[in-house]
Order: sequence, then structure tokens, then C-alpha cells
Amino acid sequence: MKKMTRTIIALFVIAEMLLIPAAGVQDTTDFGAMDFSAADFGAADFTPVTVVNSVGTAVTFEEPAQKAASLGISFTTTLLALECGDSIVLIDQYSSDSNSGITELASHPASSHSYPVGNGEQIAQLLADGMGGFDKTRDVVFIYGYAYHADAIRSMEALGLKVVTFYPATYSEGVEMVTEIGAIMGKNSKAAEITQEMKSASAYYSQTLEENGIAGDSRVKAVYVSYSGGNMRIGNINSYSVILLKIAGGVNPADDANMIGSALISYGIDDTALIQLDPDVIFLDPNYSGTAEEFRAEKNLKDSVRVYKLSMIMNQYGPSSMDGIEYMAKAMYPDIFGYLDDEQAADKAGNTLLYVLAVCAFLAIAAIAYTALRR
Amino acid sequence: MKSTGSVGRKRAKVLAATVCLTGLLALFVMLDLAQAFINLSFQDALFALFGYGNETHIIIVQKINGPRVIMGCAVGAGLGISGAVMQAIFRNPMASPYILGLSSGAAFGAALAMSFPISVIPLFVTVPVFAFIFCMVTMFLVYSISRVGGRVPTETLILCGIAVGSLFSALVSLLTYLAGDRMMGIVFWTMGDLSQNGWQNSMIVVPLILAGSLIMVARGRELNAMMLGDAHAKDLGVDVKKVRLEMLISSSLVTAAAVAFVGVIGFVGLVVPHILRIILGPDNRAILPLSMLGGAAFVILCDYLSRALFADLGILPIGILTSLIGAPYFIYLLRRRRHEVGWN
Repeated sequence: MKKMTRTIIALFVIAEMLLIPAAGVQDTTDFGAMDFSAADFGAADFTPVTVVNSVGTAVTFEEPAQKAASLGISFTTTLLALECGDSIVLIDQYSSDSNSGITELASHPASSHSYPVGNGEQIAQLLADGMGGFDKTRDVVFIYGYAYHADAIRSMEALGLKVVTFYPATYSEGVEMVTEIGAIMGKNSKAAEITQEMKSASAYYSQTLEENGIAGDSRVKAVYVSYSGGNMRIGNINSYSVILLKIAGGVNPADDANMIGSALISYGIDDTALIQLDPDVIFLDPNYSGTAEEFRAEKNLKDSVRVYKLSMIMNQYGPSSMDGIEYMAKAMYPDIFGYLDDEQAADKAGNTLLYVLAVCAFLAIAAIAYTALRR
Repeated sequence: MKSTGSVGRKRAKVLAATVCLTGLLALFVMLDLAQAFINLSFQDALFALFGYGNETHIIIVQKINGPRVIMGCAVGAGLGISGAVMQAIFRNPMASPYILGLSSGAAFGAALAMSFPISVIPLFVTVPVFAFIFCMVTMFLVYSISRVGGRVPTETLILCGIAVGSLFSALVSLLTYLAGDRMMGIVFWTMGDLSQNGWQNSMIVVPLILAGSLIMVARGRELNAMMLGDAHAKDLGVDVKKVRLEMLISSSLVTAAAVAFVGVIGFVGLVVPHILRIILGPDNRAILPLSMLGGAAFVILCDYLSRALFADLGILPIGILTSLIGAPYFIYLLRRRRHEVGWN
């Protein structure tokens, strides 16, 4: 019996010895708890990637990029969401925390290296010289694929940098961008997690509105006013902000061909249009220099129109667009998705004032009653 | 008898021109008031003007189109009379606020304010203030440089205006090049824009333009004498130096007030007085007030067209249209009736 017991214990110990390392590896893979370097982690989560950028160059990554230059807020927010913040060596001027409000960048080393994208040659030179450990044979430059970036891109490619461009036209393409950046940085698992969240967010708002019986004409009419170089435009049918606005459950009245003859692709703002389109809500481009209230006064809007100014990261491609959709949904349907923080604060302030007034009234009545009784 | 008949015919012409221009101005004002993203009927616009009708129409007519029309009238009137006065005092058909560099000076001031915004002062304050300051600075600069031994020869003044104007234009181009994201704002301002004006701006601009214009209209007789030449004017008892300085300051003030809030609107000061001179002859007593009416009508017509013609794109900057309409018409008139422009 004793022998049998010893044999069972011995077998159990052997089994334990065999199982514990396996369990350890599995934990690490699932939760990333082990202190792997980016390279170790990336290598385990990487397959070679080839992309063709906007100037037609095929760029191949045989190993995960360790460092990145992020020349666009969308890339900066995506890299941060992919937990690649330490990889960023250089950012564009709009990404700097003072412009974008991205708090993670406040004490980030790259904050002291923010440049206008137009300075393509300077940026190329800094990166080619190995700034912040940047290796041009391995690492990556992310930049928007706008036509006017072509010169900057060519300047970088001339010095042998790997330049990857994105120019998403739809929310799905924004999701794909995250997948591709994840693939280049060796963060496929994290990218999959984020993209799943983005897809779910896209479906969540329409489903919730449907469940609450909001469809068709009962949806909120919302206009996005873009602002560039002092010029305002509405319509913006192809703009990413309008795409987000629609995901959040809004209807863009500028799409209404029946009302205005034809849909407005992009319309230089005529103040009468803002009045006649009669939106319930207006979302303002973060680049607009004034406040929402200043805009309301400037444009002679009706009192019933609610105006909100988006923050810099809200209408960017990538994970931060989920914040934008949430903000827009709350602004348009506070009863369903909850109030925005500042509105809650205003509401609380209003309630506090009401309480103070009630207490004052109670004290006044009590004082009058006391005086009357004394007489 | 012949002389009396000629004077009578001239008076009748002036009266007819006054009635025509007033009628045209009224028509263009109504068109512009009714112009919107979805156009209003004349009846709706008229009702809304007096506070009747639905809320949307009232907001459009009283708060958006109303100030725009008033500003357009004031700016057109100001630019029209300034051009007429400058042509008279310099006895040169090419003289206008643009030739003397005043508009370029104002444009530089506005571009400077847009390129280097002062954080505590909003742009809608700094842009007109800087434009106004630089317009006046340009006028004094041009006048001082061209002053030789207490005299200001017309040719020197105009050449000096062209030189200083070119300098400021180059500086505006430099600022535009350096402005980055703000470039579009500067470019747009240099093309003229009536849309960013509320009643507050009108309340500043209208009195300034009216005051300056009244001073100029009151000098019609002296300007007639000066068009005959300085010596003749002196013989007729005109203090040429004083009147010229007074007219320069008044026209600069009016131009600065006009340009400071709406940007650069070209050709009004050149075309309108010329057309009137072709029709009515050179008498400044009639030309000056009618240039105000004509300038107002021309600017309001252009504003209406800038909104109506390219409705799918939004609003076209008005300065583009004033030049597109003004320049070919001016060339046509010069070619057809060159001998009747009143300068021979």
C-alpha cells in the first residue's frame, strides 16, 4: 500500500514538474506578463509584411519595427494604444501634447522632437542619422498618404527610410490601418484586440438606438463643420468626422438630396445654410479657433441648436475614433448613452444652485414664521 | 439759350442716373436679402425684414443678410467715392486706392494679424485694426516720400504709391508663404469677403465711411477746379495743398474702414466713377455722390452673384467677381468711347 502510495506521489510530482513550465508559458502568452523586450515579444507575434505606399514604393519588413516616427495624430494614438509608446522617436507638430492633448506625450522623449511634416528633408536626415536609436533598415515612418506629402515622402525614401502611408476613407479602412500598424510593429494580438473593439463599437450604437425605437426621422440631425485655414465647410460627406457622426446615430442633413436638390459633397459655409438645414446638433472641427458658444453667437444659430467642439483626437483614424463616436453619441442622445462630462457638471451645478435656493427659501420661511410667532 | 439747354440736359441726365441707380440698388438689395442656401421669395424676405414670417426667415434676413447688405452698401459707396476723389485730385484716370498702395498696405496689416495672432485678442478685432493702421501708415509713407520741397507732384505720388504697394504686396506674399495652415485665411481675405460681418462691424464702418464721404462730397466744386490744373485752381481761389491733403486723408480713412473689415475688393473705385464720367461728364458735384450710389449697387450686385452663381460650391469671394466683371467692362468702355471719359 505504502509502495503504491509512494508511486502515486512520485507520478504526481513528475506530472507537476512537467505541467508547471507549460502553464507558465501559456500565462505569458495570454497576458504578456513576462518582461519580454519589444523585440522578443514582436518576434513571437510577427510575420513578414510588405506594403505599397502612396508614392508606389513597396516596403518590406522582415522583422518587427522597433522604432517609429509618427507623422500624424492617428498613428501616434494607434501606436500608444498598441503599447508601442516607447518605440516613438519623433512626432509631427499636431501630435505634440500641447496641440493634441495626448497626455501620454507630456513627458515623452519624442515631445521634444515634433516637426511640421513639410520639413521632410530635416526629418529624413534626423532619422537617417539614427535619432533615438532609429534604424532605417528596420524601423518605420508613418505618414498620411496625401498628395501634398509626396515630396516629404520622397525626401525620406531618398535617404533609405521605410515610409508607410495610410489614407483611410472609411471606418473599416481605419480599422485595417490599426491591423497593419500592429503587423509592422509586431503587435498582431494587441491589434486584433483593438480592432475587435472598434468593430463592436461600430455596431453597438446602431443596435442600441434600434432597441430604443430610434430610427428614420426620429434620429438626430447633426452637421459637422470643418475648418481649415480660416474657411468653414459643411457637407463633408466623405470626411471621417461625418462617417463617425453617422456611426454614432446621427443623420447628416447635407446628405438629404430631396431637401436641397443634391447632396453637398463639400460646401463653403454660407451662414444661411446652417439655419436652413436646421440641425439639432453641430459638431465643430477642433481646429476652429473659438469656442462652441462663440460659434453659436457668430452664426446666429437658433437657441435650440446644440454646438459641440470636438477635441483633436476625436476625429482621427484608429482607436481614438471610438472616443469620438462615444462623444458624439452622448451629445446627440444623452438619455440613451449618458450625458457628457461637462454637461453633467453643469447639471450638477444647476442642482446645487437649486438646493441652495431651496435651503434659503426654507430658512426665510422659518424666519418669518418664527418672527410671527414671537409677536 | 443753348447754354441753359445744355445745363438742363445735364441736370436731367443726373436726375435720371440718380433714379436709375437708386432703383438698381433697391433691386439688388432685395435680391441679396432674399439670397440664401434655399432662396427666399421677395415677399418672404420683405416680411422678414419687418419681423414677420417664420423664425428661419427672420434670422436670415435680419441677422445674416441684413448686416451683409448694409456693409456691402457702405463699402461699395466708400470705395466708389474714394476712387472718384483720387482720380480728381491726381487728374489721372488710373488713380485709385489700389494704385496708391492703400489696399496693399491694409492687406499686409491683415495678413500680419493672421500670421502672428495675439492670443488674448481675437482675430476679428486684430485683423481690421491692423488693416486700418497699415492703410493709414501706407498713405503717410507714400505722401511723405513723394513730397519734394513742400510740393507733392502727382506723377511722383502715383509712382511712389505703386512702389510702396508692390513692397507691401511682396510682404503679403512672404507672409502667405510662411503662414502654413493660415495661408488659406490670408488668401481668402485678400479676395474680399462680406460674410463675416454682423451689425457691430457695420456700426463701426458705416459712420466712418459716411463722415469721410460727406467731407469729400462737400469739396466737389474745389475738385472741379483742381481737375483743370493746380495753377487754374489757385487762380480760382482754391487752397490746392490743403484740399489735396484733406481729400487724401478722407479717402484713405474711407478706404481703410472699407478694406479693414471685408478685405480687398478691387476695381470698384476705378470702374464706377469712370462709367459715370462717361455717361455724365466730369462734374464732381454729381460724380461723387453718384459714385457712392453706383459703388454700392455694383458691390451688392457682385455679392448677390457671388452667392447665386456658384451655389453648389458655396460663396465665391466677392473680390474675384468685382474684378471679373469690372475689368472686361472697363476695357470695353474704354475701347468704345475712349474720347468721352472726361479727361481730355
